[in-house]
Amino acid sequence: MKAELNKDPDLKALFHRGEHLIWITGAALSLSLLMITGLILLVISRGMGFFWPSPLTQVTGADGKDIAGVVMSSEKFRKQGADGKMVSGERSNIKVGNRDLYGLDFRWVEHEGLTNWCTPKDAIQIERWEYGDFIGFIKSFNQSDAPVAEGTVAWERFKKELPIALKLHRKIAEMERDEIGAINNDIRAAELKIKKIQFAEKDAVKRDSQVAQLQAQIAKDKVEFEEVRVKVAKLAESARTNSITMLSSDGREKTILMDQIVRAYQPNSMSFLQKAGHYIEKLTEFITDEPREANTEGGIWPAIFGTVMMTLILSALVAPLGVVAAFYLREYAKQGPIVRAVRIAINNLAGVPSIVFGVFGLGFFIYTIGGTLDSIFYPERLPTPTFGTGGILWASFTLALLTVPVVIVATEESIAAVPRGMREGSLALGASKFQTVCRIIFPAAVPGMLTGLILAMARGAGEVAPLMITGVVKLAPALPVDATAPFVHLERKFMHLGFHIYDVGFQSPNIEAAKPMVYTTTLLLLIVVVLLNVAAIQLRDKIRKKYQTGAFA
Amino acid sequence: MSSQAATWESTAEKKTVVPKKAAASVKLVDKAADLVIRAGGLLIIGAVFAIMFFLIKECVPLFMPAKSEIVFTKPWPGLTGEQKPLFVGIDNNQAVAYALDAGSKSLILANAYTWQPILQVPIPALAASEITASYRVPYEDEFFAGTQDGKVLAAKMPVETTYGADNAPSYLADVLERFFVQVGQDPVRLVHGRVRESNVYVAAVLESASGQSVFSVIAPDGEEPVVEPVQGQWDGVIRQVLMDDEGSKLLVLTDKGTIYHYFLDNDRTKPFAVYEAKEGRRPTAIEWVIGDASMLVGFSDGSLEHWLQVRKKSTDVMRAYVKSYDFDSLKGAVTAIVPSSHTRGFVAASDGGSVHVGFTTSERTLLKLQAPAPVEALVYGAKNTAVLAYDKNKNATIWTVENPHPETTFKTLFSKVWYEGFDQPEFAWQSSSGSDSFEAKYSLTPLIVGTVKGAFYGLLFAVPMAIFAALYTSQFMHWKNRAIVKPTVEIMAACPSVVVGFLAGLWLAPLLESVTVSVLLMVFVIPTVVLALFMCWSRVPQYYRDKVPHGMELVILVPAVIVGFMISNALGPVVEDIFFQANFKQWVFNVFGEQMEQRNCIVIGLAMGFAVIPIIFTISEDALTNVPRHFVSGSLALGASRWQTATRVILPTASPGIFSAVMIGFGRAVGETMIVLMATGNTPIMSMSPFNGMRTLSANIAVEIPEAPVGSTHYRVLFLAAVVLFMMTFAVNTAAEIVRQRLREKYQAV
Repeated sequence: MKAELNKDPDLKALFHRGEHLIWITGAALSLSLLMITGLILLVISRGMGFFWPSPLTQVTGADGKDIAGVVMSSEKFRKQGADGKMVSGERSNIKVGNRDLYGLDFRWVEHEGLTNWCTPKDAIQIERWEYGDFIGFIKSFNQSDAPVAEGTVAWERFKKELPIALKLHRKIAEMERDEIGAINNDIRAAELKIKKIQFAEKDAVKRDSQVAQLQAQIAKDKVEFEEVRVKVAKLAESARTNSITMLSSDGREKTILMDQIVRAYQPNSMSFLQKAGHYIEKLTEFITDEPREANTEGGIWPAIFGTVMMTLILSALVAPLGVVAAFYLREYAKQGPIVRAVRIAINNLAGVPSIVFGVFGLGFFIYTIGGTLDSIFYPERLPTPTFGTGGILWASFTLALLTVPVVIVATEESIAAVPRGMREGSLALGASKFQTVCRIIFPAAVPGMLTGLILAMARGAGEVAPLMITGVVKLAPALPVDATAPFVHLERKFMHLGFHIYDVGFQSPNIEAAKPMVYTTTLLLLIVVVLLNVAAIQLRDKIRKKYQTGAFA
Repeated sequence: MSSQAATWESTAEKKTVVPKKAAASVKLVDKAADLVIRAGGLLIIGAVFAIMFFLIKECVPLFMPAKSEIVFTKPWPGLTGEQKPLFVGIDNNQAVAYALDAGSKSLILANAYTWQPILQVPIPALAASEITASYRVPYEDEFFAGTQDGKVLAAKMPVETTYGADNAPSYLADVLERFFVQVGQDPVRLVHGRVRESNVYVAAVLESASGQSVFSVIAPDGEEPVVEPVQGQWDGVIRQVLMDDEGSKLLVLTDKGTIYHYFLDNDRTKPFAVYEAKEGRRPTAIEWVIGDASMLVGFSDGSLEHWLQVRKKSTDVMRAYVKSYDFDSLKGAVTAIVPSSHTRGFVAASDGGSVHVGFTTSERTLLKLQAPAPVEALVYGAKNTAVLAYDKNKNATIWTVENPHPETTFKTLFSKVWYEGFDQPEFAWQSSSGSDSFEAKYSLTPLIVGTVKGAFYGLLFAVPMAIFAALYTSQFMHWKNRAIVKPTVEIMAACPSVVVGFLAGLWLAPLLESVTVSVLLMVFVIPTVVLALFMCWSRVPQYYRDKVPHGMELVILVPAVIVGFMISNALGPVVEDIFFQANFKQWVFNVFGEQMEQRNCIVIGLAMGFAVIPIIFTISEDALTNVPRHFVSGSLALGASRWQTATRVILPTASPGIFSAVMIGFGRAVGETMIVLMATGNTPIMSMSPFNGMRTLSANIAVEIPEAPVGSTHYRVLFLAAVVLFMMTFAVNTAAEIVRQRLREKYQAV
């Protein structure tokens, strides 16, 4: 290289001046930027695609049996050949579905020996309430176990019947949830009341009469419960009359009741528009429905709701506290070593690991404060804790503590940016200190506070570790807001997008089946967090520009 | 900024600005607001310190010394016989004390608080014969008794206390016979045994005129007991036999001080002598610690030792007993040792009247109590909060013991501990298992090592990347590009760690497994590609080069890095074939002797690096940009190139800022939870090897704290882990913050 350098004085000079090292530093930056764009692109490409109907591929295996399914991915791999040497081959991960027939719904298939690759037009993918998808071909449509239509006719008939079956399914689910749920709630409330009376009422006669009254009510409820149950059972019976018989790719028959089916489609014969329709339908289901099948199917509505609600409670807590603290530090406290130390402490708090806040939340909010609340207000429910266990309120408190430094720092910055002339002008015109703070400084500092608040919200929405120990669960039985009095249940456990990713991705027994849900949830969370941050950045830039050109500067 | 605020403060304090005519209400509101804001501000600041205070408060009990109080010394009410009771005990609720009275052949129960007699429960099986030996299993309501005519009784004696409407206790006690079996014709002199699930294992020593004989009585799962003799030549009169809870190990202690050890499953005739009698000092009492894997040995001079079974060579048939620890000596010869029912704790007593409470794992002698007379029988309450000693003067003394966390000392938390089943002292974290007799291992050291390891590999990747990137951005980049780069990096910082962790664990880790070599190659290939490109670029005619001005190199560099990626990817398998025998994993195993795990430090380094790069970048970039402009101008004017200016002028000036950036990055990496939780195997190991994973303090807390019962040692140790984490980050962040403030002042000065 040296000789070459000598031949090229220009290059030598460049090396001497260190220009090549600048390129290396530039490469580090490029790599960093590529990493973040790569991550976002990866999540987008994975997260967007799963709901688009993929073609069903059929192939004949080396054993003569057909395999039909969706090719999820293909890769080259290396394996030990027959002679002990490493040879490379190709394999694909195929979603074959039919978990109830095959046991596993994903299969790695080596390409060697496979023949007859094709995409049969009449292959059907059926989404079911249980056991995941069924992939195969329709044989017949049955009424009360007797086939009434076969082949394409059966498919047409099936398409006509499916909406009816779905309607029935929804009706049954609604009855179970609303009517039976309401009666159950009544019974539980009455039972708790009895316990409370036995706990608190000292007068034996009064106690017994009240208890008897409540017990009568419970008995009445139980009768009603039985009536509804019979009604539901009758509906369920009628939902089970129709069924279809399917053929799996390896020739096995499977009869599926109509009320087990969510939707069915022939991806290989769908037009682009049909596919788009399917995509939108799935996306809507994803956002508005509840999860099914251990969170690997259905939607994530409860997680979205939980995240948003927690973020809102968190903002309501963190905004006033953070702003007051910032005003105290900037406008009221005497500047000196103490305030400087406090500022260091607050900056420090922003760097304290989030899990430490979680531990504090668990020990202080849940066990200390929650436990005390329980023993004062809900002694009849003990030992089942009400506030003495994780819940959305305590999780929000914990995250508020975690994010309050963000708001304090951002607000302080924006207060500091308000030009001194404005304050002095206000004071000179006779305004009191509070009037100045209220009418001059506060309005000027609002965008800065908003920036801090948005950043806090984004942090809160993306944080998981402290939530894991203060009230997030993988599957919440009920939303924190519902139609039962008192409508807002802050003591309830809740679901969260971030925790959903962790739980479905790492605790799920069937990770392959869960992947679409995880990637799509990740995409959603990333969109929310990135949008919040972009908003905060935009807002901040605006303020900076405003004060850079301000007349008071 | 602070000087500005200070001036504003001083103007406000003069108060001349508020005119006298201002309405009273305005003044009032002003005062009220002043009060509210001050209170609110102080509240928030108080909360910051309350966190630290609360966390520490929860850990303090771990280090509190044990406390004890004597309740009373009284004769046992209702004990009829002239002889001492055969055994004494306290029930599981520590409400009822009982003694087996040899005279009336019945259990005599007394209220453990008031010492009022409660009940007398006769044992019908023993009515016909004289009781000559007995033993109470310390952790079940089980006991054994031997009779004059050579029979052994195994029985359960559940004691139940129920509280009536007016809180008056009522008692139910019963003796349920398990078996009553003829062992021999001679009187039974010693008996010892264990009950596990419903398997009963008993050892009995019978004595006749011709000598002594030892028998094992084993009744598996409620079946008929099988009596078998155990042979051997013992050097003296047998003082104690110990049977373990699997019916396989049998220990025999003679009055000469020799301890014989049998493996009943292998050889019932020839024992190992695990301790040879010596002149002077000899063992006088032995007992298993719960779990029956280690034992306590008390000596004639009052010393007390803990012996572990250790495999010295891997070929050893028998694990030899090795003394692991000396506890504080008692006064006089040790007469009784009783293990705790659910921990590694114990009580020992001597004929000098000493009663010591100790704990084996933490090697602590917790309490030194003194009984009024030589102790003959001893009980450790089931909750480990009471000790009862029965002395030669026929008095029972009860002490309360308050010591909820005997298992923790600084040594057990941070240094090596010799646990049962280990061949030497080790660091270990293993907090819980299904079994009751499990020895909890609470060493935080492997977790701290794991935490530092994760942070180290993260920083190894992040620090050069972030500092180079910051240097480029602040010194060489066109300002137009900066407007894109900085927000992009901020977005990177905002990326939730659960997303990074998920991708690292589910996408990157499996992917890396097949392309490890390619990724390692990138370290060399990407710079090479960039340099090669640079050389080509320098040959491009000046005219075209000028089209890409200084600071716009990124346009060329981004594709160059992508090309580097692709080249490494293609080269990977080739290099693997040539240098690593076509199998990198196997090669690592052959060369380093370590299994390469899927979730290793390369994954962690990349993922953690991703999370930390933006922080280090932002702070370093700030520090570099804030270096006063005239430094740069001066340097350039003197003829330095822009690289020379950057590295010899700017970088040294800003180095404190960059140092604090790295510190803050370290703090962030140390506290990161979700990434390590998802991208490592979470095994607590003491190794800095890049080929395996780790378990960090934060991930450990996240996984274990939901299951830890409130107030338990486990719970408090996890709080301690949080405090350690807090302290680590607090120290690092404070140092960084102070350095930064100093730097800011310095910049202002020049």
